Amino acid sequence: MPQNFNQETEYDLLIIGGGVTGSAIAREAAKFRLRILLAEREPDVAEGISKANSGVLHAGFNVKPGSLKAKFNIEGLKLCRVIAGELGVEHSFCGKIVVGLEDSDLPYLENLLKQGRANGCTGLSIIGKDRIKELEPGVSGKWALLSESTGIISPFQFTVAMAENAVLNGAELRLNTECTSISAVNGGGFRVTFRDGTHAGCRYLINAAGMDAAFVKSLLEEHSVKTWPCRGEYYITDKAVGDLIKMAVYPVPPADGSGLGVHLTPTCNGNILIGPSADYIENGNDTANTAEVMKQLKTEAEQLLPGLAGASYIKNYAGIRPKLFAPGSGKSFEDFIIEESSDYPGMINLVGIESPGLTSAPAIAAYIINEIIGEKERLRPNPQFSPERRAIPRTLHMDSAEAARLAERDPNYSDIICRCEQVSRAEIIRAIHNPLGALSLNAIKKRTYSMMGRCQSGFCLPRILDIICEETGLQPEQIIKSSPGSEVVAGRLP
Amino acid sequence: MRVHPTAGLQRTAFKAAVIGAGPAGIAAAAGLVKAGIEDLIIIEREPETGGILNQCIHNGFGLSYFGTDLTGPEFARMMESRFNEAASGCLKTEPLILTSSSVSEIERLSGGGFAVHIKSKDFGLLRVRAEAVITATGCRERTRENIEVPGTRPAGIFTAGQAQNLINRRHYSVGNRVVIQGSGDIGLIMARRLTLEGIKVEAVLERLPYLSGSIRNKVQCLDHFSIPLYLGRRLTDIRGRKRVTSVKTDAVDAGFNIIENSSACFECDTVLFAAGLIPELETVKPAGVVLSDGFHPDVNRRYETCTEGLFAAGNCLHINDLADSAAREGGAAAVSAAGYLKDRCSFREDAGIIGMLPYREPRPGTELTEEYFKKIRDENLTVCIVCPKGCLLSEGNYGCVRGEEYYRRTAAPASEARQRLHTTIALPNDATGKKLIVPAVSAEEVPAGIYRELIGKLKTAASDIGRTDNYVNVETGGRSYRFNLCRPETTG
Repeated sequence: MPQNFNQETEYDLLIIGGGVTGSAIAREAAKFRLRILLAEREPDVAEGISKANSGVLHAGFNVKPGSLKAKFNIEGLKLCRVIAGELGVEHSFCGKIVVGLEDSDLPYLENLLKQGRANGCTGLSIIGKDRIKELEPGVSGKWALLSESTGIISPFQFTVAMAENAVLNGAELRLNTECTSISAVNGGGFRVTFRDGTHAGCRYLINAAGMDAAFVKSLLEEHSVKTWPCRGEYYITDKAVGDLIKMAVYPVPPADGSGLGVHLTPTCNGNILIGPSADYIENGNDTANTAEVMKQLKTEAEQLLPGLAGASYIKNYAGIRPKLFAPGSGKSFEDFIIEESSDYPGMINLVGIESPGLTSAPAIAAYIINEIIGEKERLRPNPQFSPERRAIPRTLHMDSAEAARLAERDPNYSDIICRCEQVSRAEIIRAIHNPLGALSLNAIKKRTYSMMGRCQSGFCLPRILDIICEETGLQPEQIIKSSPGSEVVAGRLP
Repeated sequence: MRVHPTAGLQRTAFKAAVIGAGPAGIAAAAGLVKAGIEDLIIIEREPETGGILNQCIHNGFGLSYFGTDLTGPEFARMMESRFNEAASGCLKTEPLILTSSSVSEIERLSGGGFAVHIKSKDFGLLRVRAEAVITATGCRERTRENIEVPGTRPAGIFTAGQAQNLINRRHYSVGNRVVIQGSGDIGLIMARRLTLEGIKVEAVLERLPYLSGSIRNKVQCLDHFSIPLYLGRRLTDIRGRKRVTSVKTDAVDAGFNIIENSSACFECDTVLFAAGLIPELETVKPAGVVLSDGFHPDVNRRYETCTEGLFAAGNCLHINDLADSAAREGGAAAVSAAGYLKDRCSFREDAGIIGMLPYREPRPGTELTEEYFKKIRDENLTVCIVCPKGCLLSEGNYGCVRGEEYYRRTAAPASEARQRLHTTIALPNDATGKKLIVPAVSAEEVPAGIYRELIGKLKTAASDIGRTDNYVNVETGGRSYRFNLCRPETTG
């Protein structure tokens, strides 16, 4: 146990990975007087798993009782409600129904209910055909599990918000900072080397590296743990059909495994997410969408919600989750691995953080800071900690009085740049000058929803490139979409 | 167009509002003024009027509307002149033009008329009233996502119009090696545009078994530049993590299903989608405009939608082949709207039933197949590229006088393919320090063999161009070629 306060380490806590979990840990740690470094490989936080999932705040009925997943899901849900409010992240407790078409689906639903109650979920009930029709007229079903405490949130906005709040409360964030080696220091603590050759020393090292957590763990430990990349593909619908459902609608998964059991999840932005699929893939970086899965997603979605037939889809995306069991192993559940290394005390590894990782993140963070680190030493509270943070205002969702007030103070709020999502120049400028120093089209997208509408930046891209150049002095060919190598334009013409 | 001085928006109620100042909108505004409706507001989201024309630096505009062959910007400036002339004759009040102003909603008022909600860069949030509205909001492009092409989501994927804007308005190079999906005129024009700027176009793909655009554009945009065209083929995978690295394509049958064992990959770093246009109607849908086919607004024969007093014209009504017809429609809708404003009863009697659009999107001629192209080659025919008709010429068969002249210039044994070149150059702009990007058009046809060379020399000559010069001469092969510069203030 690193009880000696090694003054030579620069940081008390070094977190590898700026996803939702890493950001939540950084924020939780910032409540105490700790020197914190959050090291993120990409040019922005939320570029991995945290960017590409369904954005569901799970109630906790779909996880095994007694597991860490169940524990952190239930606690996390309560914390998410509070934190989303403190940080101004749009969210909605819209609820969910898990729908069965036959009487034979009822046992499955009752099992979920039982499991949920065992986990301590509230707001669960079994409902019949008529109530299903009342709640969701577009969906047909005989029986459903209604979960009133399920919610939706933008996973990347949530991550950005927590990271920003952590930074504003004194945590240091280094973007474009990939960990390449870790060594244990005699007497306690760790020394982490990054790809650019720099180092950082810390007393506690948190491995929240998402898809690469198993790899990061292996940088120090001999005992490896294996994760298998499992890709989930999605469709995003046009907002025009967003009214078709109000809550998340999941079908009872086909017993014979014949279908995907495709989920429909509304977003706070007014779109519907269709997916995810679950395909084990060779290359853990391959976030491509495939023709076969795209077809299957559409077919099943239109069966579940016939109103989707002929709908316009504005985007496909895919995320990858780290599974802790191999395909064909017969397993269907493995718990989170959240453990302090026995060989290297002070290093805490988080492996296999897939669903309900988003919901669980604040609870995992509280556990690590308060119950792992907090057990080893007395953490002194940070009196300057401010839990609140003001998000970039979204003019699309404002009433006209509020929008007029904003525009009066700053005329850039009435200069609309992204027509489809009605995003103003002011919002884009604020996104460019964000507290994390992230600069890319993705960084602007995540913070404003510009470029995420039906024309997919067809209209606004040239204008946004102009604004970035004006605001930062960058040359247009230096502007990246997501990471170095993804420059948007090749240069100027002669 | 003269924009009203920014002294604060005094007027908030108008007889008519025109949304969009592209070809249809400007024509509608001019038409309203000529019909005596002077109390009029025009709302345009860009900083300048002209709409999509400002980025269409190629010619082919104005042939029917003005009887002369113009580039897009020239056509826009001429339309604006016509409007200014009409507006200068206004007796009681002047039309108001708001640029950098975006309509967020058109609200139907219970007592009749509309409230138009505007977000204006210069005037903030506005709510203006209008008794009649003409929507001329144009269209948007079908995206890669709309046509559901599998693969990754790297940088380097554009729609054709988006790429056209980046190149022609901002002088950015979109990439180095390009594959284009879609053989409509936009895709063909962009194939030529990219090539003239030194960007390699590996292929143009078309999923239909026939060319979607005109034969004229196939010849002057693809054949003159040896760009391969593959009919009955589409993109089936895009690869590359950060930037496009390659694409996979497959042949497809009449139902667009993949034909087995027909895959072909192209290495490239850029993909352009020219997959069609969609009328942009999001602002008017809340006002109750009905789209029975989900695509076009239902109108009566007077261009009025289901919502009384709300008219539609131009590409937001149906996709037009040429800006000329969009402009004509704008004028016709204006006549109708003026009639509606003056005498609602007689307007109603004459307007007819509202229903599905009587005319459809231009359907590509299904005859432009591989067999057709082979016939042209076998029979040694020449495709005339002087006007969009694209007549097939041979000795004695000339289509028209200009066709005969064209034939004599190009089809005679010793001569070669020729066309007028359209490009953009960046001129130093002393006023703001920023470069001014200006379309440059060759005064006459130039031979295909020297296209790239001439463009290269023109670019080098750009730095020597004086602030008021309207043309520049470029020398090559012992001859001098003149390029006219379409400066914004000198035309129209």
